[in-house]
Amino acid sequence: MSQDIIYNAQLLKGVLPMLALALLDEQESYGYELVTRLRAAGLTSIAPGTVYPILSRLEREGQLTSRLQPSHSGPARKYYSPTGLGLDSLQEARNVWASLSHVVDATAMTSRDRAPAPELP
Amino acid sequence: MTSHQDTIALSVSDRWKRYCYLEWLDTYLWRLPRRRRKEIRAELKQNLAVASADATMTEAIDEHGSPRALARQYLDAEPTQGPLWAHGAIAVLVVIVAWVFATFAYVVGALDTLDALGSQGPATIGFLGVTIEAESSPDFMGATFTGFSWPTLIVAVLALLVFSRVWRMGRARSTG
Repeated sequence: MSQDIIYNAQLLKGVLPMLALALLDEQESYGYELVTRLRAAGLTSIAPGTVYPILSRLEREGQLTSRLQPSHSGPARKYYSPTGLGLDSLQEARNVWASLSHVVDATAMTSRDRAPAPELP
Repeated sequence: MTSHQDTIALSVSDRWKRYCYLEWLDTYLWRLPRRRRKEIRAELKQNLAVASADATMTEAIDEHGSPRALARQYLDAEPTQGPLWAHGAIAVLVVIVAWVFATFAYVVGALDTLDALGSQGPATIGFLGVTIEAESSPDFMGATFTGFSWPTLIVAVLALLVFSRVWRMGRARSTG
């Protein structure tokens, strides 16, 4: 059974660029394809409207490059892939996430583990 | 990973729904440059076609959210635009054209009044800061303008400042 990993919009906003760069590093994708890949990864309810502007911003910042592939139906598809700057940014994000998750695991998880389970009647 | 067919045939109804959706989106993205709006529209057009391959166009559109909400997402991610000088120029043009028409109508009214009174003039009147000498006789009908329409200038400057959103000048916003 799939489950949404992240419900908090702010958390999602923080990690989504990293997730997008990581997936696009594996394989270039166009906008909607990336949405389906994110859903397959566990973000089942992520909306295309959340993803597309991030792609636009990353491209504008030089972290993504794009190419147009002619399509038989209408406008060309715009495929995105990370640039060198994007890969650097991805690595930095991964380092930050590793550090942050270490702190969270050591602090929040430890606190929860310490709390005794309520006794059932 | 879901694979999408390269050839997506849309019905007339689906094309119309997509067109309406994109038109509304374009309306809400009016602050962006035209080139940028065209890019967004072209990309969404393709993405909606792909999304409708797995569902109906209505479902694909619902999935993308309301045009207003989607536009808001895009606008939040775009850098703050500078002043919209083109909009300001159009506003000034509107003010000038309105002033010309209003003055013309006023002068015609004044000349008609002179005719009705049987007076040839010249009659001196003021309109929006401009002194007008109107004269109507069998040999001559016309008006002479002197002065400067300061109220019109003030309104034009205000229109330029407001419609061009001059307060955005020099403002930079990080969107990271």
